[in-house]
Amino acid sequence: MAEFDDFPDEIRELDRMLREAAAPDAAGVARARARVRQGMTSPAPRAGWLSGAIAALGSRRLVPATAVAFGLIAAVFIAGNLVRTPTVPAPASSGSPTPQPTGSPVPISCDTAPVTPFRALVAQFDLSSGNGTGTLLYDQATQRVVSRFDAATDGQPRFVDGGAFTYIAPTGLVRQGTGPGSKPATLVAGQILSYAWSPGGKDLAYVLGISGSQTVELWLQRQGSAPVSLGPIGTAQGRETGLDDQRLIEYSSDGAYFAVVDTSVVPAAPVPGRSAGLFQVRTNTGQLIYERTPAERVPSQGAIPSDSQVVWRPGTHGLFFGNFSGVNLLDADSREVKPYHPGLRWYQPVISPDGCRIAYTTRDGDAMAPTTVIEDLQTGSTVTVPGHRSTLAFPAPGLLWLAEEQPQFSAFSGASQYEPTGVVTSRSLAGDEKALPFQYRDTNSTGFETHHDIGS
Amino acid sequence: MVGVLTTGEVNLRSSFEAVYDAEASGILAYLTATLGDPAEAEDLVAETFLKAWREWPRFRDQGKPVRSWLIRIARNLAIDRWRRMQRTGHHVTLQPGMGPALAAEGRTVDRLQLLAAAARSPRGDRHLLALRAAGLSFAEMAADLGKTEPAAKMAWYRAAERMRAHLER
Repeated sequence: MAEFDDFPDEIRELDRMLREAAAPDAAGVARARARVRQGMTSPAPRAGWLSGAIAALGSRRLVPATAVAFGLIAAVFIAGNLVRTPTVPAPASSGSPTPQPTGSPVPISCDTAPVTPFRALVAQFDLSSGNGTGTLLYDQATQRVVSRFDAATDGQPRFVDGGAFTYIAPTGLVRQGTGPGSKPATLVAGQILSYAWSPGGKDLAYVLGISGSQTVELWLQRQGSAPVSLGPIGTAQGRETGLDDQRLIEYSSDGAYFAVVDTSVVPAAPVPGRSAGLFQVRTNTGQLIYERTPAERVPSQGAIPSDSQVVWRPGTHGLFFGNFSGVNLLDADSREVKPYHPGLRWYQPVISPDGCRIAYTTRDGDAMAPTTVIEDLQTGSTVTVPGHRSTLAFPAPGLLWLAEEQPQFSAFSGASQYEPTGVVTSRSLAGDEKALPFQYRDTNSTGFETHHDIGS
Repeated sequence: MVGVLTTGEVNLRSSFEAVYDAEASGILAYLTATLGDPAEAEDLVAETFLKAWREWPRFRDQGKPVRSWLIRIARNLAIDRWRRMQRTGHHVTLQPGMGPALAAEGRTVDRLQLLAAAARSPRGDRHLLALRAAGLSFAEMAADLGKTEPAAKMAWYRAAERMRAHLER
């Protein structure tokens, strides 16, 4: 090829190989054509028509791409990492139809709380001094990046304790010490979809994809004992990529319960026309005490999932979750669900470590312009953060990390949609802001994780 | 409910299906190189064309290059999907017929290794590599990227160099 003559042989060969490797087979093209034709069976679209068509065709809402990655940020277990004495309930008796943890969660105090020193793991970043990959460890006290871990590129880094964190790698769940010279070690082999450590890092709950099938299983390893399968919990469909999607396990702040949410997992008996997805709450012994059954769910809107965007309220056994009706609050003790913010569609809710405030993002218009709101959970008063930023993390009671977004042209909609620029700002409740010394990459982003008692 | 199609609707569909026949293979190749996973790519190519179908009445009369438009849609979807695959510790599943190894500088590089290396390239590189994998000439890439042809060629060359270096590690 003439256009190629001035390239070295190895580059020309690479080009040839990549074309060959990516070349589709006719069967794949035909299968996709069948799906497209099926999707075209709705009435032909009209010019200028957008959002209605998406719902009518049962498809997903187009969302700012990076916001999907930031969706995981809602999964950080800041709340689960509070420096509290865990109130570990007695194991529920086997076979009990209504297992109930004993004891009550530690009540919260919303007295003025100075920012306690914390460290944060940030997966996928650009340092202002140059490109970086993997995971960095940011120290709030010195406001510096203190370590980089090249190995931790594969997702969901979470502190086990102050001295180690784990992350999902293709081979399984890997443990990495934060000290110098520490080498990664595989804790759990297999395809981990999501996982969480209980407060204090004693228990580990994880969802495992079973090789050779779409089945996913829930596993629990308690206090160093052998891991136990809690059985299949559904099948992985794994096709959703929207803002509403969520995949996480998260413990309540006292470790009494954990929630398992996965909008890409279809439970055993889905109901046509109702939103699928997995939404369970279990005691820390693994017993299922609550599940949003398909029948309970509101009718689906296209393929947009429902019952997601969850976050535990620290100091309580209350679990916030969103669906098409608004934001709701589940009391895990009574299994009662009450509307909390009817009609509100929230994204990326994060709760301050003291449990006093919640921050979340709303999105407006086809451009999905983000607005972040901070709500005082005791008084209900709200503060709207100026500018278009999405909610990222609440690493300390008085400190919010925000991701800046700007409109970027979308060829699909013919208009602009908001996308993160990479700039991350730390904002105090008083409104003081400071740029953090790294940028979130808008690819590969896997979230933040903070730890509050490291080095103490 | 689907009613009786008007002549205009029939024309709309037939014109779109012609676009699919002409462009689907290239878009699928683009997505395969971008995601590194042929199965995921196949899923996403359908989604790409469904999105395009929704915009087809508006786009059709604008006289803009169809392939470039489709690639943009595919790219946006792929970025979403790619992030999700990263989040979930996604594994590429070996499909029948994907086994044959390709030789590169005396090394054996599996097809999946090659695709994975392309997919793990930085976003800008990935786009360039995938455009070539989709069969675009440098002149076509230049038009798509809004660059001169020499600039597009040099950008792709650097991306390929970085990918090659990655493969050699």
